[in-house]
Amino acid sequence: MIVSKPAVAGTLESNDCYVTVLPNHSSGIQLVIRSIVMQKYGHLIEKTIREVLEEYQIEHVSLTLEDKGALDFTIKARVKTALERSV
Amino acid sequence: MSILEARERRGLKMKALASSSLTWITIKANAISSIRLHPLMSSMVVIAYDELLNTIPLCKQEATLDAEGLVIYVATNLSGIEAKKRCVSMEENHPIGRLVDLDVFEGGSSISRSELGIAPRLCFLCEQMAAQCVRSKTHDISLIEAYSLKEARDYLLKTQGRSAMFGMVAELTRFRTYGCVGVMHSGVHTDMDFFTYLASLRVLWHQFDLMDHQMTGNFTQLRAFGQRIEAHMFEATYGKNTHKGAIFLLLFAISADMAKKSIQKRIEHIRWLASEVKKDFDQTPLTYGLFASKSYSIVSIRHLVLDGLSWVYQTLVPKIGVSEDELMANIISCIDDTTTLKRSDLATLRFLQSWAKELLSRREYDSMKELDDYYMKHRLSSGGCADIYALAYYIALREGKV
Repeated sequence: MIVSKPAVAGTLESNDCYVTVLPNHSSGIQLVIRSIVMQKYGHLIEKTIREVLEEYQIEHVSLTLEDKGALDFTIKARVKTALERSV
Repeated sequence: MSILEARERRGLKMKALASSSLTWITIKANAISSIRLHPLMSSMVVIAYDELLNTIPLCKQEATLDAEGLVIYVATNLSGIEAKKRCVSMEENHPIGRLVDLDVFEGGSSISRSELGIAPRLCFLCEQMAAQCVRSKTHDISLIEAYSLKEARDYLLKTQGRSAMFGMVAELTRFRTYGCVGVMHSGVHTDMDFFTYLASLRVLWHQFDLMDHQMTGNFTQLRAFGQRIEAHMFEATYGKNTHKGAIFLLLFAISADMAKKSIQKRIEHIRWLASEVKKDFDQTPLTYGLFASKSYSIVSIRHLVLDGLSWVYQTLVPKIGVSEDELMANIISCIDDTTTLKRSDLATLRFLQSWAKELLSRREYDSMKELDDYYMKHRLSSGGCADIYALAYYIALREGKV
């Protein structure tokens, strides 16, 4: 799948996250993660995002995720929705 | 609609709202998703709203009811930082502060506790950082659920006014309102909305707290007190009748609670207290309810009171816990609602009752949607049934059934 336009999903409410995706023509995957539990769980959030990107076979994207304490399934759902909106 | 969808839809709404120069605050239950729609949690949102009105000057307000439960949005001229400070103070210091989430938005983005140099929220159960407990699923969901419900219940049980408020909130936050005012629409009413009801409810709740034991054994005193409460209601709503029926019913139920312990004794107490109501039937001019009772020989709410509200205590309250649709089917099928009658005729009232009865016997509660639509389409209202719903929830709380 190719990210061809900017898209967003999610909210900045507690227990949710806000995902922004932008096309990143042939520059690979760029992730920016901000989280209230960054120190302890930042690496797990990144792992979850990368799993979704792999599932969608995305090689080039600039993705920002602002986490407000979302669980994995919420993060997955929000990233997927943002990607589906970016086609 | 799923929780994530509901949240995103509200997020878009917030964005639109935040494009103004105002600071917006969202008030919602800080609870796990399975209980966000529980009337106990909706009551916590109303309490937080009441508290905020005491500390923050408001200029606009809106509300939604969806998979995430009741959410109230209020706008203020205060700066985002100042509003957040006051919200955090409520979250930290009010007895039910932990049960609500007050998010502050300014210019489209939320203001976090860390921006104020304030520590993040702590977990109910272990005093660790809440977000970490959520993420690592440290606690069993049923424990968190039980904790939230118990805290809310204990707080509401402390005074009769709070318990009465809970009953009225349960009624006001129904998904289907059968022509009455609800969160998402005003039913068939054009002169009042959800916030008219909240204004009324805020006054009534504190007024009910002024009831004392003396009134419980004296109908004349009780009636005078009721009239005073009604006057406060009309003042708060600029002359709209929001809760007159509910006040009447709740006064009897609260009196019975104060005077007697067992259900049977309470029923007898109400019968004894209400015997004075009989005189109402001879008074002139008659109110519409009395006129209808006399001319159509229906069993009005006054008759239920004369019978000590035994149907509510013995038949309806034990059913609390079933779905909102099932409970409403029970109420609509059994109550001769003079509010409905006022906007239609006896044949229509009987038609609606037999419709509800049929759905009840076939257990087709989803079809209550069509009954609800019928009320709306034909501009009918079910205010009497709504009052009974509020009363049933009040009694159920006091009886430890919610």
